[in-house]
Parts: sequence; C-alpha cells; structure tokens
Amino acid sequence: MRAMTIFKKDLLIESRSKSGLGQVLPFALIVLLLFGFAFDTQGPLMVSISPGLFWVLITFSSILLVSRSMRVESENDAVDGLLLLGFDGISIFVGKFLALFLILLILDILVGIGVVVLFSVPIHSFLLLSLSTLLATAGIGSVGLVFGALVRGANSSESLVPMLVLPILAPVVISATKAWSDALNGHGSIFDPWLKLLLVFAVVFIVGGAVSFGAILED
Amino acid sequence: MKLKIAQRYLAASALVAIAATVVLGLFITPPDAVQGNLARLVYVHPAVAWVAYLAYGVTTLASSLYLWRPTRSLRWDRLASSSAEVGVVFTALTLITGSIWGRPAWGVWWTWDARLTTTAILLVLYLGYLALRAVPMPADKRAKRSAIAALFAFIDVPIVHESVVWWRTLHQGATVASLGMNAKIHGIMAWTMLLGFVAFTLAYCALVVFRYRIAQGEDSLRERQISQWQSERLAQSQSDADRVSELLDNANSKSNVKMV
Repeated sequence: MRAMTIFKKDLLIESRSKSGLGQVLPFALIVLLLFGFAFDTQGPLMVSISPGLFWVLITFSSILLVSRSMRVESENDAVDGLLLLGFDGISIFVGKFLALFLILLILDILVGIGVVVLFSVPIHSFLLLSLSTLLATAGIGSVGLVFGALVRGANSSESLVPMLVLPILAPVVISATKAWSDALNGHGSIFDPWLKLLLVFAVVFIVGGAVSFGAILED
Repeated sequence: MKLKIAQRYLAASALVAIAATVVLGLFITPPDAVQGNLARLVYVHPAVAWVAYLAYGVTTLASSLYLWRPTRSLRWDRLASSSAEVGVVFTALTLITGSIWGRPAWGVWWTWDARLTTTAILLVLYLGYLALRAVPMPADKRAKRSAIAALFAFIDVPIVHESVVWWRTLHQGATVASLGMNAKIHGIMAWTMLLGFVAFTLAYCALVVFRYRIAQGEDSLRERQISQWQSERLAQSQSDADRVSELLDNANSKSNVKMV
C-alpha cells in the first residue's frame, strides 16, 4: 500500500513536469532518424541490426530517465522526508521501480513502433518480443534505481550513472538483442534460452535492490 | 609499522621471484615446439589473470565484512579499494598480454571470445567502482555505498559470464582461447609457470599493502588537518572573545569616567 503511494507520487511528478518522457522521447526519435542516415535502410541490413540498435537506444534513453527518477529524491533531501514519514526501503524501491517500469515500457513501445515503421522490420513472434521486452525493462529499471541511489547527491552523477550501469547491463543488452533477433526471424518461442537469462537477471536485481535500498538511502 | 615491514619483505620477495621468472622464462626454458618463443607468455598471462580475479575476490570479501555490522571498520573499506585498484591494473595487463599473444597466434589483436569479453566487461565494471569511490563524500558514506556497489558488481559477474558464453557458443563453434590453455606443459616450463603465479601474487600483496598504507596515511592526514583546523578556529574564537571583552571593558570604563 505504501509502495502504491510512492508509485502514484512518481507518476504524478512525471505527468506534471513532463521533463522525463517529454525530453527522452524526442531524443530517442532523433537517434532513430540518425541510425537511418548512418546505415543503409534499403535491404536486409536494418532487419538484422535493428534489435541491437533498439536495445542500445533503449539502454541509453533509460539512463536519462533513471537518473531523473533518483534526482527528484535527492533534491532538497526529499528522500529523508520519505524516511521520516515512515516509508521503508522496500516500499520506496517497489513504488519507484513500478513507476519507472511503466514509464520505460511506454518508451519501449513508442521506440519499438518507430523501429518497425522506419526500418520496415517484420515481427514473427510477438509473444517472445513482448516477454523479452518486459523482462529486460525490469532488469534495466531495477539496476538503474540501485545505482541512481548510490550516486545520489554527487555533482558528477550524470556521468557516473552510465559508467556504473552500462557494464552491469551488458547481459541484458546481449540477451534482449538475441531474443529480439529470434522473435524477428521467427525461430523463437517462449522457451527461448535468452528469456531465462533475462528472468534471472531481473529477479536477482529486483530482489537485491529491494533488500539493499533501505541501507543505501539511510546514510 | 608492522605493515611497513611486511611491505618491505613482500616487495623484496616479489622482485626476486619476478627476476627469477624472467630468467627462467626467457633464457632457461626451451621454446615451444609449435608456438616457439610466443609460448613464453604463458609464464606471465595466466598468472596476471589469476591475480586480477584474486583482487576482485578480496574486494568482495572486504566489502561484505564492511557491510556486516559486527566487523564494520574502515580498514575493510581501505582493503577493498586498494585491492580493486590493483585488480584493475592487473585486468588491463591481462587484456594487454592476451592481445600481444593473440595477434601472432590468431592473427587479430582482439576476438569476441567469451573469456576476453567477460574480462573486458570486468575491467569497465571495476573502473566504474573506482569512479564511484572518487566522488567526494564522508568516509563512512563512501565506504557503505562502494561496498554495496562492489557486491552488485560481484553478483553480476557470473551472469555476464553466462550471457557472453551463450552469446558466443550458441551461434559459433568452440572458442579458440582454449587451444593454447589446454596444451600440456612439462618439467621446467611447468615450474616456471608456477613461479610466475607465486611472483605475481607476491607483487599483488606488496602493492595492496603499499596502497593500503597510502589510504591509511591519507585518512590520518585528513583527520589531522580537521583537528588542526578545529584548534585554529577555537584559538581564533578565543582571541575574538578576548578582544570583545577588552572592548567592552574599555567602553564600560569610559562610561564610568563620564558618569563620575
């Protein structure tokens, strides 16, 4: 219940400020267009590289959203206020994670539509595509929140978050790209091995984040 | 003081062991039947890679000991950071020596083999850890945050390894990296390789002790600066108070004179 309060608070901030998705979506669109200029859009090349392009773009765009999600808590020591109000680490993590997950999913869907439309990518296994996107997004969101909280308050947090998060996310980028390749090429199923890896990653970092978040915030 | 002596002995023995490895590895051992002189890298490369893994293991252990309340001490934090720094250097050396071997053996400086890719990710992972440590913040805050980051990095390593192994093996044949590693090794060559492991482990220990002592020195210098600054401020406020009371006395005596 307490987690839902945090969840609503974060969504309210997002809907009122419009500086999260409102800034990141145009950025993602520009990068998609740049990919179009940089690579040969005629022929099979875009179909084979679009899973990789999509996940690299999503990872970079997510970092901007993740940094923002923790910045609103570090500004004016807002997180201390939450702790004083009796919110524990787990409910803060779960609430923030769910809000971030939802925002990242909207980003995934819109950028995904952009990839399909702009690069004429056919989709063969929609189920595998959706499941891998859900699990990879959960992984990115949980890791982002944990490291966003670890660097909060630092002057250089904007450059520190990608430096810490990107290497940790290497398995997610690999697995999600491979799962998407399987889904686009039509030889994937829901028993795709990459889904297992994405599931393990998401579970490990959601549980790890929930358990350690209280300790990270109380210092 | 004990650490200083330990460092001296460790450094001296590491130097002797490395010198012996150089002599044995370059002049006494015969060249390999297949790879010729190139195989001499086997006396350095696996030993350096072992030290990198050992260093990260020590960082993880020290970070866990810091996070566990009964053993919480800044000593563990210093050990974790010292070991990670040395680990990063040795990971870079692993990649460089591997690359030097790879160019003539495989014809390329780099290949997206599972072991190589994992090592490269490991390097950037711990570079991130060191970047987090470089952020200015109070010592206990930094210790706690970096210990948590180190544990997350450690949890990530097996997942990274698994993903990279799948990535290369699901779509490609067996890796080439194991070719040289599986080669049988005998006699003086085996002993030289073992000596290389001992030498680089000793060098690791000496470097960590050295780095630990620097961190200790930095901390005590900071404490001394703070206490010096505090005593200066105290003296300043004391002299300010004296001056104020002197001025007050003067003012009072003047007004007394006027009253009279």
